[in-house]
Amino acid sequence: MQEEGTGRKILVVDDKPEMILLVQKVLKHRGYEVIGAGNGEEAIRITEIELPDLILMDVRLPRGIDGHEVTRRIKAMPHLAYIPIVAVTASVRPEDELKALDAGCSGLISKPIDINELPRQVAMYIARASSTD
Amino acid sequence: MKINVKITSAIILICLIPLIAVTIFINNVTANSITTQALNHLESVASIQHARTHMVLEKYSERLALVASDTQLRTSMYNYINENNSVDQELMNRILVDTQSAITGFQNIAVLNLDGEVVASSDDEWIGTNHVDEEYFIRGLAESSVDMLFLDDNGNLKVHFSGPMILEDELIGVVVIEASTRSIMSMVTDYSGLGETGETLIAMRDENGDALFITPLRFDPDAALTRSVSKEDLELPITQALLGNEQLYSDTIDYRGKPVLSATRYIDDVDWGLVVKIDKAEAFSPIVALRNSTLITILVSIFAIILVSIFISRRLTRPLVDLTRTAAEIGAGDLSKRVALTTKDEIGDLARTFDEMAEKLAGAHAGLEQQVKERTAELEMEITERKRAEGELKKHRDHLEELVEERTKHLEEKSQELSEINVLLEEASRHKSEFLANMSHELRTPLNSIIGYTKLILDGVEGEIKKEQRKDLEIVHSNSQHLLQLINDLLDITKIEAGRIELQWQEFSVSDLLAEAVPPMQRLAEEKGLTLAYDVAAGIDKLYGDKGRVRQVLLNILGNAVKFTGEGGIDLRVSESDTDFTFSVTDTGIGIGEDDLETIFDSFEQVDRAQVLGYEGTGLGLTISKHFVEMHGGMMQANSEPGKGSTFTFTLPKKGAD
Repeated sequence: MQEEGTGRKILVVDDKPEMILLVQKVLKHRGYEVIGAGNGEEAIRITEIELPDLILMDVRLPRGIDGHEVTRRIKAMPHLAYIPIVAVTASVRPEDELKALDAGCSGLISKPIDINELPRQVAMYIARASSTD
Repeated sequence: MKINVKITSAIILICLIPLIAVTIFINNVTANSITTQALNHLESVASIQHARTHMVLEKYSERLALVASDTQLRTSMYNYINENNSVDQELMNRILVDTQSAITGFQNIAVLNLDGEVVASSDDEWIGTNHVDEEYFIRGLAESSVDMLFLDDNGNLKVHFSGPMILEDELIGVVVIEASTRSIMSMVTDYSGLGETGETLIAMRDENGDALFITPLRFDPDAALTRSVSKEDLELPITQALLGNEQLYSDTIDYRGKPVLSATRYIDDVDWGLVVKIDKAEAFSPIVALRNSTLITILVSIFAIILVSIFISRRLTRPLVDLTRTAAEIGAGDLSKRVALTTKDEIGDLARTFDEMAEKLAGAHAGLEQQVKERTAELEMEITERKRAEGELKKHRDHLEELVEERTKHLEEKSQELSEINVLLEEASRHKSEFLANMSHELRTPLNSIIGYTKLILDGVEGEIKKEQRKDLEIVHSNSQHLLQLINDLLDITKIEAGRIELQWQEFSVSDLLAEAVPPMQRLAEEKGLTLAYDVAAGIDKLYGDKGRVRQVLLNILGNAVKFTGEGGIDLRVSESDTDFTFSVTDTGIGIGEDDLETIFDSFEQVDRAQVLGYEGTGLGLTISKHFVEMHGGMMQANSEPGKGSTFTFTLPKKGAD
């Protein structure tokens, strides 16, 4: 059985490296290539270089610009706007969800990440993005 | 219109109209009757005068005949004529004298020979005179006439009779008598039946054919044989009379020019006209008198009737006036007035009844006044009481007002303080919310890694692990899950108590909900060897509410059921009624005691026994679940039999509450 992630690149933006590692370990299992960025500027840079199929954006980035701003910037770049960005947030407040969607996210995943659900969610968002391409 | 006037007018009209009509009618009838009578009367008088004239003329003729046929006289005359003997003359004179003195009215008798010479007379002076041209001689030769009237030297009216003396068919002479006209005169001057203005007129035809009055006129004593009326005056009755017309004339005038009623007669033997006349005015004066008396009668009647009707009307209506006046007086306020009428008619009855009513009214009024007085006295007492109380109240109030002012000032100060505190509290609350949000994130993030990595290893991603390792890791995993749950519950409850939870309403399907909530629970149940069955009533599809929260509730209850059941199974039923959907979870677990049932939904109360038996739990789950259900507008309750099992039920209203 070919894993559904084969050939797909995921960018995980989170200031905690262990989080990036966790996602990597979970998704590598399914064939995804997982790369990481520790802050906003790095995220934008790497996106430009790597052109991932999906970005998992931690909303709360303590240093520099926050997740929403990164999302906005990326979405503002025509050659990068197509990339689906999913916000990862611990908040359950509706206004935060709205903020994320406003910034340009395709959806939300709430923390703590349910590692059983994560692959499915990732696949869903990628599939959704490519179907609207 | 006042009733007075009405009755008066009615009576007047009823009386006067017939009266006037009848009076006028009778007046007219009587006037006509009088007219007829007057005319008839005149006719009668005319006939009488006519007859009398005839009689007078006859008498004259008889007297003449008497003398003219005296044999002695005739013989003597014959002898004298032939022998011219004075003895015969003297004899004739003696006869004539005797006759003249014997017959009243004869003033002179004479015998004339055929030459017209007086041969014998009762008056010596006549003897020897010649009267050959005299009418009486000329006519006397041929016939007897008694109609030759003349006026003597003194102006007295006399009459000559003359007639032939005949002896043995031979005319021997003429007898002439000079007589007074006393008979005619007395007839003509007899005004009986002719009033003051009436008279009898007799006229002869003179040589012109005109009517020459024979007798003196009532209003012209010298008219006899002097006054005449032209034969052309045909409108005068006397002319008509001479023409032979015997009629009544009611539209003529007399010789004086006055309107007269006249009746005419013709005395053909002597060719005289006779008129009996009377002034119309006099004839009809009765009519005028009648009309005047009628008028006076009417006027007097009118006057009398008016007076009487006024009187009657007054009498009839006075009781009513009294009644009206008394009613007005009573109405104006004087209840003591009474009408006091004694008339025996209906008005009297009305008055008596009225008085009775007034009596009652006065009585009731007096009664009421008494009541009013009493009540007024009572009220006055009450009023004084009240006033006193008011006074006291006022004192209190004034005092109170002072107190209130003080208190208000105090309160305002406090209010000010409270406002400030409120502001601070709000700030604090805001800080708390932000803190919560931060904490939410901060607390969950490490757990993320803990749970994630542990699962990772357990899933074998890092490679095979030994059974013992697995067991240890599972303990770590489940504890970290529990910790996560605790944190979630804690945050939830904090938010609930801060009132900062909002439901996200949406329509979702029951099957979706169950698909999310049941499988995890089923795994847990299977691990404990329990059955988990669910049943959804037919026709239930869509629910309206916060899917996440409802799922949370369901997970909580199912989780509790699994947790507190050692053996047997769990049953989930979903049903509906007209108004809401009902979820019930029944287990065959340890059950809950009566005392505990009361407190089971309170925060931090976990059943003691459970704790004793080492069951995990935050004690917050049910509180949170109940709160979420109630936010939906539904209800949650628990039933249990210790040792047998428990049933937890919650309802969600259809179409959602707000």
